[in-house]
Amino acid sequence: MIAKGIENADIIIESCKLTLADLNSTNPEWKEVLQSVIEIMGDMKTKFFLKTNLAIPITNACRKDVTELQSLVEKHDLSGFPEVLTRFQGNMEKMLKQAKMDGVIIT
Amino acid sequence: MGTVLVTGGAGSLGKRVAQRLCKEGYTVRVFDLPKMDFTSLEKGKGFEILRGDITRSADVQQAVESVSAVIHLAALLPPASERRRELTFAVNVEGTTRVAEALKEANPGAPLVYSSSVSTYGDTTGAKSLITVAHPQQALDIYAESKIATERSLRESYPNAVILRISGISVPSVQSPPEVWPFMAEQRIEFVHRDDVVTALCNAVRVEEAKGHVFNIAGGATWRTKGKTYVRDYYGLLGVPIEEARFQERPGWCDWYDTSESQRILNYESTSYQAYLDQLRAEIEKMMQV
Repeated sequence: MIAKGIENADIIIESCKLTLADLNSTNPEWKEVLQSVIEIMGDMKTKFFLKTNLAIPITNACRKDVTELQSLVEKHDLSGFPEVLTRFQGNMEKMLKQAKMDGVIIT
Repeated sequence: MGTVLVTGGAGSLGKRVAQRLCKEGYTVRVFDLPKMDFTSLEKGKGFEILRGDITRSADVQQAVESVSAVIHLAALLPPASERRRELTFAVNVEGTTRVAEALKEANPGAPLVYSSSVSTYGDTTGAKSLITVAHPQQALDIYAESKIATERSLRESYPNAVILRISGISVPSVQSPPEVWPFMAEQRIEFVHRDDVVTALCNAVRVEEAKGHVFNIAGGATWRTKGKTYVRDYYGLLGVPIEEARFQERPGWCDWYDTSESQRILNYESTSYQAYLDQLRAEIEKMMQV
């Protein structure tokens, strides 16, 4: 069974790709953000954190954000895009902070 | 109360030791490499920060000046210790001898507590009973080899040193597991809570009866389990199936230890394995609140 965190990561990556494809020539900074999320989530998929229950709430939040972004683009209504993108970035940062787990101490 | 020197005092364990001693009223001289982060200690009262290197005599002489006791934690640990044997011995063996010699000159008879390791026993999987401090030592890696050599050196240069052979330390926070757990699934393991190790180190400074003795420091009966059970408990709290875990195929150094004497004299085993799991569970619940 695939861990929920990894399942969310796949959905986030896919959603970012679809959003990027539909953004066309709009703000290049938005595109950069989405591109970097794709890279980060790709790296994260190999981390232990995403296999744990710890990853579920925060990846759920990121998934919700990116789905909202995708929906805005599909509706050609970008007025709320910057606000959701900022929230998405904030949640991604939270996820990276949580995933930073120190090594086990063995003497 | 005098000044206690804690070498390696800016490391994760060293900081806890320094903070505990400070809380108990000691002045603590925290000695560590300049590259270490001293921030949390610099803010507090009762700490003397000293940046230096135990491979340098002048630094060590300055470190031991007017101290009433030393807790010597500074060492190269695995995996760094396995890269260059020469450097590991320079830091772990010669560095410790340098600290002992300098202390002998500055304040002969002052308590010197040395953090050794149960890894010095090597592969003990054939043992039927608890591993005592009389068990033969046989290194499986450079780190253990350096610790055995240091113990031998200390017995000659500083016979009153208290040698603590510390088991694997469990920290009640979520940490990435190693790619391969350093023991077999069915191997006996007995780790110890970080706070109890801090207690053992601090008590070893002031308990007269401890002088000149070697002790095993491990969690006690409630911590005696098998490798697979320990990992299953940890993974279970995180919702990760045990099948994700990889264990060593050859025995690691872990085992069950006789800590009756260390507990009698140092009185440090106060956190049960279940209490550790409860702390970990609380930490995870806190992290789950986004």
